[in-house]
Amino acid sequence: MREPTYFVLASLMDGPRHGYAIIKHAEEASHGRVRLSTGTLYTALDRLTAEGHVRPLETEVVNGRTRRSYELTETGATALRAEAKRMAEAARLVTDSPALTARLSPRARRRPA
Amino acid sequence: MSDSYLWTYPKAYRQQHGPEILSTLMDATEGRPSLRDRASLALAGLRMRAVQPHGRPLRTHLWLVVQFAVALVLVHSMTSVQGITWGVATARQGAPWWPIVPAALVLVVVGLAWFVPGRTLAAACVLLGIYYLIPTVRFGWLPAVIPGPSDPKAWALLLFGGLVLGGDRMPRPWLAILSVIAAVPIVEWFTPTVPWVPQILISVYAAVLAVLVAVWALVDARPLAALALYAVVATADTQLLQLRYQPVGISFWTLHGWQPFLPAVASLLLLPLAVWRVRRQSAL
Repeated sequence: MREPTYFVLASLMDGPRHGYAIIKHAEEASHGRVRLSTGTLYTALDRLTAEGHVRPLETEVVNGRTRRSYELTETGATALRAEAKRMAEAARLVTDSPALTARLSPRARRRPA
Repeated sequence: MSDSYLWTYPKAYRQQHGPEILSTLMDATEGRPSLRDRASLALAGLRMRAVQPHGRPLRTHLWLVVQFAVALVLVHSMTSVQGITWGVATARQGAPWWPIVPAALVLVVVGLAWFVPGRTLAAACVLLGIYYLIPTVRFGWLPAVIPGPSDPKAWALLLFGGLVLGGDRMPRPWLAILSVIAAVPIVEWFTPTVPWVPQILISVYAAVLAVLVAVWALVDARPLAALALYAVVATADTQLLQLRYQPVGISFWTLHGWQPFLPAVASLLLLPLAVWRVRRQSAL
């Protein structure tokens, strides 16, 4: 799963969101790394819908703007959790490494080369 | 307003999602979309139109690549070397219309695939079958390179091609590429009878096709991968044919070296890049 897709799905964990809300949430959650353009977002949403990961809800008009929210499906939630688990395992490989911890400890750093 | 921003999107999608996309665009750009925003939206619309079917695994897309490569090889086998060199030369000596027959048959197949999707297999088998029967029935005096019904390779190619092409609907831009290649002998036939004109036309055709496909690869990389596969087969086929008609006693390699095979080598190098793009394109 590509990073933008991951953050699109992650932005729907707490409940349905419309397009602009997804863009904002993905940017904040990724600390500015994932900046989705409108075109990219709707391409991703179209594919995620076809895959059954998200479901479009009815449109509503708010302050003259037409909004459609998207919600995470069970399939999408499962895929998101599996991806998060995969990344966490990959991260633990490094963060739990005693060798790396020892190498980066202050005492080891003071030791002359 | 929706048409000016979303003109590249399929009409049905635009009608269903146009207003919400515009609302998101206006919110995200504070009402003033830049040229970059518009270009990004145009590209996304083209991708949505081109990269079908959506939500299918990588193997589906790679299978479509193989189907298209086979279609290109079939068109090549019907309209290239024999149709261009011997065909035009022989035609000008007394059978004026035969080189454009296979090209016209291919255009009919492509037309059927365009308007009647899902019937490509039947159309391809019937029309290619007619083509392979033509040389013996009507033009038995033509050079031996024209495949006839006695040539098992021709039937194997026909059967394989028919089976491969009988699956999914082929995207229309791909059918347009097939038409461009198939039309070479027809365009060539209507050009003045100057011996070196066909060579120039073929290279111009190849260059125009390469540029179009390279630009289209930004939208859909699958035709690029198929064309890379096809270029390997077409180059090898053309050069091996020359090798077969090489004068006795002179080595092909002494005359030409490895240079004629360079396009095949370049295509082999391009292939992994194109497949990488296809993988990236199909990843969620």
